[in-house]
Amino acid sequence: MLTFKVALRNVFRQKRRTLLTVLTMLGGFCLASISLGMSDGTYNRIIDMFTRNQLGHIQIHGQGYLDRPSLYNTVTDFEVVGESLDSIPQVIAWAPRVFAAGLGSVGEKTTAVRLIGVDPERETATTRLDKKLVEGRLLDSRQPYTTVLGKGLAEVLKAGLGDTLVVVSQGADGSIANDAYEIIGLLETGDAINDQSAVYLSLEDAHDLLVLYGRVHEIAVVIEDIDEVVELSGQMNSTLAARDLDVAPWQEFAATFYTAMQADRKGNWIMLGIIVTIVSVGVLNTVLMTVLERTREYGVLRAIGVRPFQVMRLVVYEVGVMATMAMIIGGLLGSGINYWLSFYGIPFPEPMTYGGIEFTHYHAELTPGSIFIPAITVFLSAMLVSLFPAAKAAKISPAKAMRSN
Amino acid sequence: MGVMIFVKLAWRNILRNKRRTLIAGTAIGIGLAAMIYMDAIMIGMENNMVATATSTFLGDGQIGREGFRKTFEAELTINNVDEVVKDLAKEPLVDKFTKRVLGLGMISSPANVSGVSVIGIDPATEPDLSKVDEAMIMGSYFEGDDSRQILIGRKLAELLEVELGDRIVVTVAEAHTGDLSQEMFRVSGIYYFNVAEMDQRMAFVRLDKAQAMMGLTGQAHQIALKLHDNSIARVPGHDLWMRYSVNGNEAVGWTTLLPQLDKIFNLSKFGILILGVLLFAIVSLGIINTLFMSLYERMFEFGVIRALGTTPFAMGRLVIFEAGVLGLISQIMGCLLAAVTLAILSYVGIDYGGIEFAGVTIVDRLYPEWQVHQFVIYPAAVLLFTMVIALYPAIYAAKLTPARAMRKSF
Amino acid sequence: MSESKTPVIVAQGVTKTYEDNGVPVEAVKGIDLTIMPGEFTAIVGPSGSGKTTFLNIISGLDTVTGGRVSLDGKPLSEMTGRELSDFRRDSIGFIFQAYNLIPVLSVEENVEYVMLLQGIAKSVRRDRVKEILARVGLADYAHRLPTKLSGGQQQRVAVARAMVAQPSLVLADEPTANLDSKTGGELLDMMRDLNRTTGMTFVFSTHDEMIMERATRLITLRDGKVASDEARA
Repeated sequence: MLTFKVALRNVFRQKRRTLLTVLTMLGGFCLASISLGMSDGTYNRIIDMFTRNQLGHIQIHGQGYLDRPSLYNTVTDFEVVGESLDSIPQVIAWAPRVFAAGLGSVGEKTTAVRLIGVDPERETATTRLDKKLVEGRLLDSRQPYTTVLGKGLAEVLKAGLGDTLVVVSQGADGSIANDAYEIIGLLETGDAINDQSAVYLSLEDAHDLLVLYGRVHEIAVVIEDIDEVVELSGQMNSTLAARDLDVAPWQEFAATFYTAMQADRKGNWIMLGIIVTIVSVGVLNTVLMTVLERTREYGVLRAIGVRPFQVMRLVVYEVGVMATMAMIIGGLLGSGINYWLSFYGIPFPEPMTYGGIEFTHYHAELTPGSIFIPAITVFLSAMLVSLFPAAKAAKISPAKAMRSN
Repeated sequence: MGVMIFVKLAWRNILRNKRRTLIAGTAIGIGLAAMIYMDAIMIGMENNMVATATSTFLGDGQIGREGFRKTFEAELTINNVDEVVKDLAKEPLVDKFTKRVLGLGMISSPANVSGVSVIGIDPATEPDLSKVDEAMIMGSYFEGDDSRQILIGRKLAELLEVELGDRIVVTVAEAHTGDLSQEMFRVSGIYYFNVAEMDQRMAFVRLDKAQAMMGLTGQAHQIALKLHDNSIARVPGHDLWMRYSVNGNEAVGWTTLLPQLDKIFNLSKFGILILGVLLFAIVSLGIINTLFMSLYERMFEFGVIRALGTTPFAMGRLVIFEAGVLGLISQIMGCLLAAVTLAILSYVGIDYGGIEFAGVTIVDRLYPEWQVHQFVIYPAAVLLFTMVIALYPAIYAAKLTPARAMRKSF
Repeated sequence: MSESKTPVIVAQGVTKTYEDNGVPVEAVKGIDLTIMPGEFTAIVGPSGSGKTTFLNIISGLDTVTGGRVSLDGKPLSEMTGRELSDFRRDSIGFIFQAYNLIPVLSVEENVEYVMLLQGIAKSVRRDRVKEILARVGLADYAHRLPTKLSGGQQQRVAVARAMVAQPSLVLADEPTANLDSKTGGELLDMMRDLNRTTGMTFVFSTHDEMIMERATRLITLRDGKVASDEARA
């Protein structure tokens, strides 16, 4: 305890040096904290956007569909699967989908289209389909032979509300699928590529066209806590195993994004390493110089009977006090900045599209990691680095020390 | 003449305490090396992605009808295409070019149906522009003159469950009428780019076949260009693009075709700059600390120097010179560190293994590139920065009266 | 020493208070003093009598709190920091108790330092350095670094440096305190000899009896004031 008191007073005795050292640690802490906060914030936002708004947190397909999407690889009796999903408390909503490739024409304009059969109510509950409508109205399961197009597609086909879209595709029984639909609405999902070819039909119409009764290609599931996604997928996989189905969390069905994100995250660790190194060197410098400068003082301590280990402890405690100060101030400052940035963000020089979604700002997120990881690394590295000068101080021989300077 | 003695003093003073100089120098050096390294990686990534994008299929630039890029309407063919081709043949800035026809359609096999971009290419000139011929893993790239040959990606082949020699049906819409045109092809070649878009959503047929299918004989949607000097592609206002953007056509470089790529690079440069500034804010604290420490150690000596008649200004300048020497040594350490790391990495390369970024997949290994500006501008900036920070301790040293200086050391 | 010569130092009502770790210390409480050219004067007094402080003031190393000081007829108390520097460079030589020399410069470089500040041509500098090093008996040590010299040798270099630019006054603060009596005695004899042959004024602050023995004038300070002032043989 006495050592601690002495350490505390020593730290406040030499204000300038303490200030500079604490600032060094603080600077490193804040830099690390903001980097992590920005990285987490940006990615979490992107993930939230494409899972909550389009793809869902978890997707259920027939075995092998993700790797090789085929018209014939379906989830049979999807309603039954849906029921078992409803019984899981963490599941907020689920939506069945049917996909097929085809050609669509309005008048003389023809282009390749992607047919998407949806259940409008479920789709709204799961991915907020209603919010994406820009013109007209949404599909209604009671009104057959209607369609909603992606806005980009409507532009390509020079089509508008009330026009007739003729669709040609291939049915699951091998027959030519051919039908006409009235365009009753246009929507924008935010994914430009999707919107340029998407033709949304009601599930019943899709089933009729493609001869796929009772079957769907995909069930998108949205859950309460995105962090539980992997665990839940595992659970669902075991319950649904008997049905030859594959339950994939977003990390699997958005694998390209996930791998890129992981790679970028690794870069974060390298950045952290560099920051920690620079801070450590700064602290080492300061503490070493302090020790050398106070050689006489330590000599006196040893002369009056303080043991080497206690001298060493004194040095380490001093660094500990400074490090703790830096951590507390850093924690407050870092939290404050991350919190502020999570609302306002840093604007991009120009808006950027990633994975089809447009972003205008970098946002941070105040995650526990963004405070604790820098705190622990900076604190530990400062303490570790202080051991070297502390050992030096412990080795001072009283007589030699008092002769110097 | 009187300045030289101070330079001499500064130099010897810094070297006097080798350990401290080394430690401080290391901190600064690491910061510098980190910046150089990040810059080099950025450049390497840029080069890699640009090269991949342009040489795989896109070309350095393209000529097409205005509006085609947005909607891919079959009717939007290049106006006066024959004249344009003639001009291009004489164009000194253009190295190679090739014509293409693009149609969005369906491709089906007994097992599956998929949406596809059907691309009609000229087998003779296409290899100059894209790497389809090099990417073949099975079969061959348009030998002979069988018009029913089609090349598809490995992923698409898997999807359709077809192999070499199997039949597949391609359906596209005819231009102007919108009638569906359906033809049977035989898979004559399978390619692999490790780029999802190409391996899964493209199919290549002969140019004349595609033209016939779409009712566009003698026409083309796109002319891909390879330039002698590909830096022109980064200048949207360049004369080359202006000259061919006439008669309803537009000629653009890859920066316009892939705006995402360009934006990402600018963004990253911005990011590195900010990071660099912040890193150096931290390092500068260490520098100030080091300088003050070395001042405190030599208080009496400074008093003596001032007693002898050294002016306050010369005293402050001495501190700045010392910071300069420290900075110089640190730059050298930093540059060496960076040079060694880069030398190893630019030989070995970094494997990003097919990660997609801003719409382009990084396929080959990434080679960080060193450039003169990294080893000249960054060190100079850091050196300047170091000396500017030294103003704080320098002013402190200059303001001391000799007597106070000598008193302070006890 | 006639009255028509300009005094080297004139101090009138000089007082000085400084802060030591926040505690104000009245070091000099009112001193009037005149020093003429050619003197070999010792200022003595116990620790805390104000000797060092007074010496710092009359040499321009420190500023006065009250009163006036002139050196060679020029008022020090009204000079700016820069002017004081130049003045010290041209008119005063210093010898301290220890750590006189710049550790990273050789003996030769230390001696020529002030002349460098004065902008004197290289050939002139080199000649004078050689001459003065020979005078103090250290001609062979020109290229040595101070850390490789004995205490006595270091002090001799300090004397050489103090004199080489031909200042009006040499101030020595306890120059013999770190030396054994034999070396100290030799150093002082050398300085007395220089004083006699060149007429350079020497003022010492000291407790050392050997200096007091050789001094032509003995000024005693006590509690920041002059207690006695006697001429000597």
